[in-house]
Amino acid sequence: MKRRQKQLLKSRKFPKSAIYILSLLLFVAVWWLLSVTAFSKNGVLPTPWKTLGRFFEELGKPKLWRGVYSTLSASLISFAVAFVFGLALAVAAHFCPPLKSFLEPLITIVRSMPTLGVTLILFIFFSGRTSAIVIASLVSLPVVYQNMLAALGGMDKGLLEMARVFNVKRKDRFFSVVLPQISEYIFSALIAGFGLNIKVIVASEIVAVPRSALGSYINGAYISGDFFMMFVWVFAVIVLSFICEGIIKLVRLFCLPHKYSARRKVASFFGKIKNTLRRGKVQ
Amino acid sequence: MIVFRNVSFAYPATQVFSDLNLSLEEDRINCILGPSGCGKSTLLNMLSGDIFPQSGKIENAEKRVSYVFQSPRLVPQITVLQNLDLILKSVVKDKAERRKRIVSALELVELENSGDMYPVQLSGGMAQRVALARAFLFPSRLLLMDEPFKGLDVALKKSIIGAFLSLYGREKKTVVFVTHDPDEAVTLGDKIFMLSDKPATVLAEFSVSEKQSERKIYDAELGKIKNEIYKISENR
Repeated sequence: MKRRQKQLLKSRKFPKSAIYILSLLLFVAVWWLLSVTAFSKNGVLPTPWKTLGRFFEELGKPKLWRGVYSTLSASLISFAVAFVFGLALAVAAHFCPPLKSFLEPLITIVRSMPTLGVTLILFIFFSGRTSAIVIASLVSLPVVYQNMLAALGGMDKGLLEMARVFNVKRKDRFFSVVLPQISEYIFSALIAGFGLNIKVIVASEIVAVPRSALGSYINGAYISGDFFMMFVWVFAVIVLSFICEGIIKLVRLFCLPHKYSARRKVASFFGKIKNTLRRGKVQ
Repeated sequence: MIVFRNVSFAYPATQVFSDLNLSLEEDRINCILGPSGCGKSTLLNMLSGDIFPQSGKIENAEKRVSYVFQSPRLVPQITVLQNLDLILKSVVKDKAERRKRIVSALELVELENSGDMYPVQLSGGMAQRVALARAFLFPSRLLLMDEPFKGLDVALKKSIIGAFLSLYGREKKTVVFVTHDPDEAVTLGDKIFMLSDKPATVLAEFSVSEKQSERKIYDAELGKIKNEIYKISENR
């Protein structure tokens, strides 16, 4: 029996998407159970259906979209800053080992900074929104730096030698040999870094309370004791993170076709049609 | 004819060549046979212009060379067609012309239906055939081959050698084929140079007159050369 179960688990009878949905359903079930048992009396935790209903109601109001715009734009700006600096530092560190050693303790310090404490310090000098952007950039920077450094270190030197021997132009060498190799790490950095970035932005917004931001809404609901709305805003942040991660993964699927068999099949299928049409034209 | 004249080369801790003299025949397959670590790959690196002799000179060295490496070295993130197009781009500007040449090269290695596949979808033998097609697609007079059949099973080796000979039959190049396998050397080489241990010198030279496609590994002439090779190896 156990053997059969193992075989079933190993076989492809459980598609990835089914497991994904199962995991989400489990999360909702636990949430529902807690809301009707442990937290049912004081009403701190609303049920998933109530939260979802209110969330959909908010979708029709401009307040939510203003908050999403503010939080998302802050997140994009801070991540772009972290990405540019992280990439530049990684390239410099890759080609200059002493710089890599020099940066190591600094990166460790940045990585272990207490997010909320630093936000409060920054809040003395900057506005709420700027503080959130600066702290989120600082938190994402080590993630981008480490991933880019790993990408540059893990490049296949044999492929670079091949490109050199066959006199491949510098431009083609970068776009066809170097970039495809580091793109996997770029996407890893995007997925890990951007998810973290949104969380930090919202946390900083809760502390620094800029105008019309999801974090500020959470703070406002907490202060006014409206726990139900607090949950709705937290739920909105989760949905936003989910959508952003989904978009990045979708882009990755199309940018790295060699990694994903489904995308490969689609590419091969259209390639064959293109070839057939081309042959038809020649004849 | 490419001639190594009194070539010496040393890495910081080892003298690889000391007054090496060698004449590689034009438009023929020159086999460099020698024990592991004797400097065969260093010799190829000199021919590719990667490193230069510290004394002596290489006469008539080619500026543009093709290379078949031990592993296929295909960019995994792009298709077979794109891999081949990558090395042609710098020499052939017309896209349609490049496409025509690539399709014809793939047909010669019997991979005409694999152009849209990614290297990860190819078997080891298929990938090495693409590497061969790439080497012949690149317009050069000199082809360097660094143990391209190492680690392949007999049937696969035979099929890849067949693909190589059909490409070579269509377009003659000066081939420098490095191996440590006497069977491969007598099967493919028109000229076989046997190198000694470091600092490497030419221990013996053999010529095989028979055409590669007509050679049988159990031929008397080839057997004689192989025996000589083994004898020299034992006395080394």
